[in-house]
Amino acid sequence: MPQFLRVLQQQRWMDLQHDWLGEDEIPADPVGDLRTTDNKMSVWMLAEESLNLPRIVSALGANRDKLDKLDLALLDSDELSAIGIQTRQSEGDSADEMLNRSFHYDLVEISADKLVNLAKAIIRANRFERVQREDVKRYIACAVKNGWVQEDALRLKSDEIKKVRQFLDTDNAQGGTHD
Amino acid sequence: MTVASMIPESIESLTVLEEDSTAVNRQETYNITASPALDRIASLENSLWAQEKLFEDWRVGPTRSTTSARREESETAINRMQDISEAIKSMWEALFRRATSEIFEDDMQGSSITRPPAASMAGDESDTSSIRLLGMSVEAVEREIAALFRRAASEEFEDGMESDFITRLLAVVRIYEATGMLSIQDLILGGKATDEASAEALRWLGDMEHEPTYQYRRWLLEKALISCSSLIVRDGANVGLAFMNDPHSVPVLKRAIEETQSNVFPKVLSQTLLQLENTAGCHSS
Repeated sequence: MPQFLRVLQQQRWMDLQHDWLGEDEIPADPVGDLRTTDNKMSVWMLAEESLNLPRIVSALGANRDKLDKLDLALLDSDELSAIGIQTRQSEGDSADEMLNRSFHYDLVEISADKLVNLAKAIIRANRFERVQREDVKRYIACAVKNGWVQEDALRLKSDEIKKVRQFLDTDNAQGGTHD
Repeated sequence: MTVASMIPESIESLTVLEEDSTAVNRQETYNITASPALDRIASLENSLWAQEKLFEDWRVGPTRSTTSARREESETAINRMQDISEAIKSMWEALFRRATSEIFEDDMQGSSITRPPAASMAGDESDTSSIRLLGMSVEAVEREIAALFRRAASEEFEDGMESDFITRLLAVVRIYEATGMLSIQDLILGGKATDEASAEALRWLGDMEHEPTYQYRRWLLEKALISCSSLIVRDGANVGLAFMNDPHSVPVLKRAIEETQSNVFPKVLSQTLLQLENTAGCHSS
C-alpha cells in the first residue's frame, strides 16, 4: 500500500488537548499547518521500505534558505481514500529531478471539510517523524556526492552551502562513508 | 533528608548574591568582574536545579506526608526556591545595568550616542566598535526587542526559511549582548510574547555563534524547556538545544522527558538527548 509523506511543523501538532474543544474536535493550529494552493497539497510518495526517504529529505532540505530540522507526517493511501481525498501524480519542485518526476503527488480537490478531516487523519495515524538538522545536512551532502542533487541546484544560502561542503570534505578525508 | 536540610547552602549563597547585587545596584563599586559573577550565577542555578529535583523527589516519594508541619516545610522550601530565582534574575539585571552604565560613561567622555536606524542594527552585526554609537538605555533596548516580538506576532514562520524577526533579533543580541538577552528572557519566560515568536527566537538563539552570550542563551533554552507551559515554546527550546549541541544540557533534557505528559513531545526530546549523548561520546573518546 503506497504511503505518502507531507512536510509540516510538528510543534503545531503537539498541543492537541484543550478543555474548550468539543467531542471529535481538533484545534485550528494543525489545520493551519496544511497549506493548500488551488485546493491542492504537495506530498511525496515513499518507495517500498522507505528506501527513497533520505533522498526526499535531502531534496526538501536543499530547497530552503537554511539547514534546519525537517518534520514529516506519514499517511497510507487508504487513510486518504477513507476521507475522500484523491492523489494525482505531478511534477515536483525540489532540487532532485528524478524525485520530482517519479515520486511527487498532489492531494487534489481539497475542500475545507476535507482539510479538517485530513488533519484529523494525520493526528489519528500519529506517524510524525523529525529529521534532526545534522541528519538533514548529512543527507544533502550524500545527495550532492551521489549526483542526486547538483550543487548549483541547492537553494540554500551560501554560508549554509559552505557547511555542506565542509561536511563533504570531512567525509572525503575520512574515506567517504556516506555513499 | 528533609527539604529544610537541603536549603541552607543555597540560602547562604543567596545572602552573598544579595550583597553583590546591592553593591552593583548602588553603583558603589564594580570591582567584581563579570566572569566570577557569571560563575556564581551558574553555580547558584545549578544548586537551584538540584534543589528543585530533590524537592520533587521528596514531594512524590514514599515519605510524603500531609501533616501541617510537612506542608509548611514544603511551602517554605518553594518560597525559598522562588527567592533564589528572583535573586538570580536581580544579579543578571545588576550586571547589565553595570555594562550599560559603562557605555554611558564612555559617552560622557565624548562619544556621541545616537539611536541606530533599524536597518543598520540588523546589518552591522560584527562591528563591535559601533557599540558606543549604538548605546541605548536599557529601557530603549527593552522597547526595541518588545517591538520586534510584537511585529513577529503577525509574521508566519516556516522551518528553514529566514525571517526578518530573527535577523533583527540576533543582531540586537550581538550588539547589546546580555542586556538584550534579559529583555528576551523577560518576554519569553514571562509569557509576554506569542508562542510562535518565542519558539522561533529560542530555536535560532541556539544556532547563534556568539561566545559572550553563550552561557546565557543555553540557560534560557534550558529554563524555557522546563518551565514554559506551551509545548510550542518548549519545542523551540528543544530545537535550540539540538542546534547548540552542548552535552551539558543532557540532564535538563532527561528531566524534561521525565516530566512531560504529551504523547508526541518526549519523542523529539529523546532525539535531541540521543544527539547530545552521541556528541558527549565523541568528545570523550
